[in-house]
Order: sequence, then structure tokens, then C-alpha cells
Amino acid sequence: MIEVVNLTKTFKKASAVDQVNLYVEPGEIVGLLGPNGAGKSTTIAMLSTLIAPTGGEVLFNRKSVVKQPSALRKVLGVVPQEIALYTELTARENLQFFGSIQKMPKQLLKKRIEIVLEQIGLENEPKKLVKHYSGGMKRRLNIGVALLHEPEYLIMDEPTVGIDPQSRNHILETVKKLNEQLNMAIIYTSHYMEEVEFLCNRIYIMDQGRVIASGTKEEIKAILSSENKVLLKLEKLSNQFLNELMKQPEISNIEGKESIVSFSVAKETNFLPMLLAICEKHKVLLKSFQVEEPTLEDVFLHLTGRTLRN
Amino acid sequence: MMAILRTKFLLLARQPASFIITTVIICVFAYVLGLGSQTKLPVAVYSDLSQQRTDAILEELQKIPEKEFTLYGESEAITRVEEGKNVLALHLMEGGFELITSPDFMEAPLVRNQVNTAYIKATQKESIINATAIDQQERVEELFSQASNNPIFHLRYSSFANEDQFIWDSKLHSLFGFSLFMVIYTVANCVHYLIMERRNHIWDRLTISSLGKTKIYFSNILYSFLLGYLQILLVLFIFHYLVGVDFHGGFYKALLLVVPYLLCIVSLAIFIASVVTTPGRFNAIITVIAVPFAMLGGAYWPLEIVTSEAILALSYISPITYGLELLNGATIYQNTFQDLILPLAVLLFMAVVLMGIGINVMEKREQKI
Repeated sequence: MIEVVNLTKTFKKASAVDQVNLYVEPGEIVGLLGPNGAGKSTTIAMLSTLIAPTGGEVLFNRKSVVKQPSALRKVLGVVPQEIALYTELTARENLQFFGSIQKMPKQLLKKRIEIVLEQIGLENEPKKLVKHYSGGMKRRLNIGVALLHEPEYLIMDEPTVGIDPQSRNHILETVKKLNEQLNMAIIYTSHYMEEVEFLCNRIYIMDQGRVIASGTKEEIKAILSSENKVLLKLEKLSNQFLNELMKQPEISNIEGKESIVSFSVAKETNFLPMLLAICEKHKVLLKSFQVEEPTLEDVFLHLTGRTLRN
Repeated sequence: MMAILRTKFLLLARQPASFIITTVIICVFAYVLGLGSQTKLPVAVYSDLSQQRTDAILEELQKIPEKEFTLYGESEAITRVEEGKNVLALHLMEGGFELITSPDFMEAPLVRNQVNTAYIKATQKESIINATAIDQQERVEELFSQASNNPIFHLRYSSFANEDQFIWDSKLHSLFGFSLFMVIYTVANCVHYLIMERRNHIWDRLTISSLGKTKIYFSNILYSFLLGYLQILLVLFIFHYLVGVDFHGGFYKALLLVVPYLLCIVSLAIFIASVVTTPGRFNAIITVIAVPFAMLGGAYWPLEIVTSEAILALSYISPITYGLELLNGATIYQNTFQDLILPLAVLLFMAVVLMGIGINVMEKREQKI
């Protein structure tokens, strides 16, 4: 098990990670959610023994890895957010190189390269130079490199940034399979809420260097269990209409964009008469409305007052 | 470690352009400035003498450095001077010679002197042979040839500039100067990849691998050194064996003594890479310092002709100064290793200090994402 206890990292006087506690057990997928600058990447860097914490500990099987990182490194695979590959080499040459630096025996490495190429769906393109790959293919190879030495723990830092939906689905399915078939524990950071909802058993939500919520998906959503999310579709959005909504005490988290307005409202509130009255008052034509259960995005909005992609 | 080296050389094979271009630039500049500046003055020759006597005198004339004598008919030789194709024509006559020059040719007295010497030598040789019995003439000619190939003693000229002996060999100077200057770019290009690897997080993959930091640094340093060394080897071999530059018997010593210079340059590049954050800045700094280093270090012109105390004082900070001192010492001055201990020690000291600081700063920077 990997445990993080009161992990802190300060750069000069700014605190990038502040007293973070989390754990990852073998075979589970843990999500690390947060907007850009939340401290996810710094936490990941400390977890993967790339940088030393200013305070706190990273423990692997109850032993500190800050000074003795080798035990964790042997069982750890890291997929960085960047495409950390030699683009002038082929997929096979990249895998060969990154396998060699793990000191894998030649025969085993040869076998593993074939298996990994198949796992990431690049078995038909191993001789093409990486620079000629699509964004999605590069991302898949980026993951493949981390899988070569069959790690027990895989850290994935925003592995689906900037790729097409097809490649994204392929990556998500691969992650799911790795976890289910190989019992690989995965630490998955993202600011795509739906990915985390799809993959993760447990979630840590980070903001401004701190963990602001943690638990299973259900536990986190329960933070907003007393509220519903309402989506309105209007013919035309007006500022007066939005301002009037904001004045209503039973409504919170109001957002308006183009002709769509969303807000949270307590479950027992009968908001419909009030809503229709405001529409009537400001001559706004309500085309449709929808009441939804809260999502993780709503929880994040509720906790921080910001959306994940802010 | 071998995996890193293998991959680096594979990457070089995929993109060899910059290595090839720098090597070609070194060769072209060294040739143009060193050998090209040694263009010979063409002299048109016409003769009233017999073919045999003309050949004998021409053979002596061709030994005059920096002049090239070509035989023409009388009218053609004079026309060449009239048309300005040659500034000088030489008329070989029975019992003497005459020079036909263009009005603005100022070196006529010097040429007259040189031709006179050659003429006398050829005439003396001819007279001695003619004075010998016919059956001995072949033997005498043979003795002349042997004597000129194996002189009894050598004359060596030396001159003094400031307090030290200064021998100017433009061929070697251009060759060494440009090799030491341009190899900075080749080494920097290798270290540039190291910065790129840090930026695109390949370095992170290496860090958490089973290799260990020492091996990672060592492999990268070794690669930069090997590529720089390979380039200098290539250039020196080309000039020694193909162009025929005289290394005064110190060719292999020069190959050995370039090692401390290259170590120093690799360390310098690592040091710069540690203090800059982007590949663009690294390239800019390398460009900014390499040219002054070359100027101050005497890569363009010999430091012996510099009179400014300030420039001479600044020359001590340039590794090229010490690199040239080692290479000139090994070849032109034929110094022993003991004679060269000071520049050798300075380069090694610079290498150790710059490498030490560079790697430490890099490691500290790595703790800041």
C-alpha cells in the first residue's frame, strides 16, 4: 500500500501542496481531481519519488520512500502528462529503450514489447516513427512505456489531454482492463470529471494544494444529496433574469451561458412557480427545463465556487 | 548505460545534419583560411634553352615556396602578363634570365633573388655533371639526388615575440582554431538534447528507472564527449591523411591532448544547461559565449600578435586558449607532456569545477517543478 501522510511541498514561500493525506491500496483505482494549479502534479511528482517533499512522508508498505525510493520505483509505472517519448524513434525502439533502462532481461523484454504493443493497440504500427503518429497514438505509447515492467502501481497524470474521443475511449478501456485483469492499482489524475466517475473507486478532490474532499463516488456525491441540479433552456438569456435568480435565497451555484442556465436547488423546494414568475416578469421564454441528480462537477462547484476547468 | 548511448547514437543517425554541417564548416574554414591563404603566385616561363636545361632549371624553380612556374611559348607568356593573367613572366636565356613584370608588381627584387639562387644551383649542378666523365654522369646525378633527400644537417629558424618563441603555422592554426571553436556547438547540441529530455519528462522516466542518477549523467556526458571527439578525430584525420597537413610528428599526441579540452567544454555546456530553463536560452548563451571565447582564445588569430593587455588578460578565461596551447605545443613546438602540464591542469580544473556546480544546480532545480 502507498500512503501519503501530511505531505507538504513549498516553493520559496508558496505552498504547492499543503498537508495532503491519501492512500492507495493494491488493485484499486484512485482518482485525483482538481483544476489546473490544484497541486495534483506536485503530489504525483512526490508520490513517484521524483521530488522530495518539504514535509510529511510517502510510505510504501509502511516504509518511507523519501530517502530509499528504490523499493517503490521497482513496482511503479508513471505516465506523465507530457509525451515523454523519443519522436525520432519507432514505437518498438522506444519500448526497447525504456525497457532496457529498467534492466529487464532481453528475452523477457522482447515478449513484453509484443504484449504491450497489443495492449495499447499499436501492434500494427511498431515500425512507424513516433513523430508521424496521431496525438492519440502517442498518448497510448506514452502509457505503454510505463507498462513494460508490469508495475503493481500505475500513476497516470492526465493521460487523455488533447486527444480525440476514440483514442480517449481506448485509453479508458485499457486502464479499466489493466485494473481488472492484472489487479494493477492506478492513481488517475484528471480534470475530466466523467473519466474519474467512469474509472475510479475512490476520489480525492484537490484545490489550492489541499484535499478538500475524499471518499467513494457515492460518498462525495452525498455532499450534495440534499440538492438537485436544474437546467433551463431559454429562447434568449437576459442579465436581468439571471440577476433576479441570484436574489432567490433557495437557489445556489447559478451559471448562465448562451441560452442555458443551470442552478442548484434544495430537493424539497417547489421552485417552479417562482421560476415561471421570474420568466414572466422579464419576458423570458422558457423552452424546457430538466432536473438532475448532482455530479462530481457539481460537488466541486459547491466546494470551491469554481468549475474544474476554470 | 549502454542503452542510453545506443539510443543517442541511433538518434544521431536519424538526424545527422547538424553534426555533418559543423564538420564540413570546420573543414571548409580551416582549409580556406589555412591552406587557401597560401595561394601560389603564378609565374609564366618561356625559354631559349634546350628542353633538358629548361627542365633542370624548372625543377629547381619549383622548390621556391609560394610561386608556381608554368612553361609557355614566348608570345603566350608575354600576352598573359599584358592581359593581367600573370603579374610576372620569366625568360630563361643562355647565361642568365630576365623578368617581365606588370608595373604594379612590387616583389620583383625578391623574385629575382629567388630565381637567381635556383638558376645558380641548376647551372652549378649542370656544370659539375658536364665536367664529369660521361660514364660517371649518371652516378653523379644519383649522388645529387641522395644528398638533397638526406641532408647532412637541418637548419631551423626561430623568432621571438615578446619573451616566448613564436612559430607561425597558418595551416595548423586555422585547423586547430576552427576545430576547437566549432566543436563547442557540437557538444552544446548534445547537451541541448538533455535539456529537451528534462522538459518533455523523458528525464523523469530515466530518474525512476533502475539505472540511477550517476549512470544517467555519466552516459549523457560520455555521449557529448564522444561526439565532440569523433568530430575532431574526423577533421584531424582528413587534414593529416588527405590534405597532407604537417603535424610536425605530433599528430597522435594532439589527438590525446584534445581530451582535456573536450572535457572542459562538456562541463561548460552542462553548467550552462543547469542555469537556464529553456533550450532556446541555452542556444542563445552558447552562441553568445562561443564566439568571444574563440576570439579571446586565439582561434581566429594568434594571441602572440595581440598587444592589448586587457585582451591578453581576458584570454585566460577562454578554454580555447589552453586547448590551442596544448595542440600547438604537441605539434609546432614539439613540447613534452611535462611542458604542457599547466594548460592541461587548468583545463581539468575548469572541467571539474564547472561539472560539479552544473550537476548540483541541475539536481536542485529538479526539485522545483
